[in-house]
Amino acid sequence: MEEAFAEILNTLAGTPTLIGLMLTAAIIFLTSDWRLSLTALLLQYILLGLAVTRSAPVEIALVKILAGVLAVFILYLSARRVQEMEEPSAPSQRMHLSGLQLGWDAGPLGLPLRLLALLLTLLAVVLAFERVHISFMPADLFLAALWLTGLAMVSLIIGHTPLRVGPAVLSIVAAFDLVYGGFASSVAVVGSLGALTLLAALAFAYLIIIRGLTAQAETEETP
Amino acid sequence: MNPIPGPFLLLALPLLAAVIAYMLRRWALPAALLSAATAGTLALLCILLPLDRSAFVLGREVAFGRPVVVLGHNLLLDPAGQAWLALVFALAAILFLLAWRIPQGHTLFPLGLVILGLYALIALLQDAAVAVVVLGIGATLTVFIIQGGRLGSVRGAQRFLVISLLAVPLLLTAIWMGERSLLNAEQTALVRDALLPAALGFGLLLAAFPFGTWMPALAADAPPLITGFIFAAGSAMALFVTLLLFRNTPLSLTDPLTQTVFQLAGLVIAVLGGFIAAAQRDFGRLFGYAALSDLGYLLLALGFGSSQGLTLGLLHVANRAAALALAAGGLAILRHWAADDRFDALGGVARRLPIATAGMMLGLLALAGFPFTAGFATHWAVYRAMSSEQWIWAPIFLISAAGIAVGAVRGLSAMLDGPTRDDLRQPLIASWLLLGLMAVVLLLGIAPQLFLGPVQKAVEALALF
Repeated sequence: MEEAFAEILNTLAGTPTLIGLMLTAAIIFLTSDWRLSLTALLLQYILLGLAVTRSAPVEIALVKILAGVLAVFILYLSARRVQEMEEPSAPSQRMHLSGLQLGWDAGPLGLPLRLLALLLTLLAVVLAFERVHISFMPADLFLAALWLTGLAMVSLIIGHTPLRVGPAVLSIVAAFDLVYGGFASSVAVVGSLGALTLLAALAFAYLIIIRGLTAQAETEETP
Repeated sequence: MNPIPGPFLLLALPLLAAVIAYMLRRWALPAALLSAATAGTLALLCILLPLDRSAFVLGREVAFGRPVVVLGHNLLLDPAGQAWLALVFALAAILFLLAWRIPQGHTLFPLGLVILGLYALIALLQDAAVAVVVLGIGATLTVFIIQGGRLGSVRGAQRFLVISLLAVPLLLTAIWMGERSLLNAEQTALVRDALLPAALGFGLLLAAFPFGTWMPALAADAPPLITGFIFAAGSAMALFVTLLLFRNTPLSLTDPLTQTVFQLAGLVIAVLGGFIAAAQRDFGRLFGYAALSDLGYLLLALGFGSSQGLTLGLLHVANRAAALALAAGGLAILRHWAADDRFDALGGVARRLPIATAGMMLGLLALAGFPFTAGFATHWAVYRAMSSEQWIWAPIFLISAAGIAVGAVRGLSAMLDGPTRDDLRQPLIASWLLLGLMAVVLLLGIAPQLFLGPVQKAVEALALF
């Protein structure tokens, strides 16, 4: 039974996890719908936990998944609270597809710009992957970590609201955790990184709420 | 009865006081007094208690230098940690007292004490990797006191949070690379490679890279006393962690490449910070750029790559803390009573708030390295050392320092213009506190070597050379 479980885990932690990580990172980057973005982040944490099982005990992977799930839950609660505060606005004239704004005029969230940035990031990640070799971790995981970090960095540059910046920063910390988990011997560091993830999510959630309340106050003041 | 170990006191006291301060947070007086008393007591303990033997405090035996093992980690206070904590606790005590009269948000007292507890943990930890993560946790908690429930722009808090979180992976990578090169003789090249993430991580924490990322934004948006605390205590702890990194890995301050990195970053932020300060139109940003420029001198001192350079740098950390607290205190009074810090909105304020105005001006001039202020001695030492290599640096530094002074004079001129604001009244207690800080800044201008003893002990304990 245990062997079968280990085999399933090994299979899942390989190529499916890699593809999943690539896709979830791309979704977080492309979408402007916070529900979709946070769902992808949740999946990303689960996949990262699976990937970590290749280099660390299952218990550590579970702790990472738990910290990630809680972090996403914290962000979800605050995002939902802010949405409840917002007054129902007029339906948008812009075209949408599953939370993706399709028009060129959609500013930094516009799909064309994001697709372009995604392609450029892909190019940069491939180049970096070819030049940097890390011997202590599987190459596919390193590629996934590079992809996550690359897209999150671009997200940080073009996004400015806590709801966009938060998942990007959490993705960077998670990508680092994926690499670091492969060689870190200190359980204290691994554990405290989990605590840092949770606190960071809490801090971003706080900023999301403050921003929402500010917007609400400004709306109420406008005659 | 067994003596109380020092690490236990340093960790338990602020956390215990934080719980009580949380319950008292709606009453500024008891919360501020409790917080200031706790921080002040801990500062005094750090200054007075010996590390090599026990001492009696209120009839109880305390072994300040005795190590404690927690979750497999050895917590030990050495002279370097002792000096750092004395500075951070003393600074916090002053700012807590000021915050009694100049409200900075209800969360300041409890969370400020928790952050002090985390800083104490960093100073006690011998493991640089865990210290880096604890510093990140401290920075994350700081976001709650920066915003403090205040509606409005979250830009300053968000930038500070993002930058602090990005620095953690970089510094951890540097530590790992350094430690790995120690274990494996064939991987000595890793030491050189480790310098890049270390420089990026440290640069992010000190706003050196990218230039001025978070410091001016924070100074513009956050409550001034909290800004002052982050600029002085937060930067001091970031420096402590970086020096811990240098102590625990083969990275060396004497390496010419390390010196070049420090000096280049120092030059850029010292010079540009001063130039940009001259063009500011509000005191918040002026304070941010002045503090940034002043930080450049710390990096330049570290870039000398010698124990004298480190001593100079640490002396600068101590002296600039007084200047930062003073400028922050003055700015806090202005923002609270005049409800603005834009030059064009402060007409006539200087005549009604003369002590706050004078305090802020003196603080800014000290950050510019003006003679007879706390910043002068270390600025002057850096000028001399740099211009002995290339004379051109002396006029550049002087023009850059003049930029801060120009910004301050422009602000002062605007505050003196216009009709006197009759609605303003000088806050008595806050002004007295500010006068005390002004005396300290001037005293350090006359006797800059006041903190030299503990600084030299800290340099010896760090054993980096």
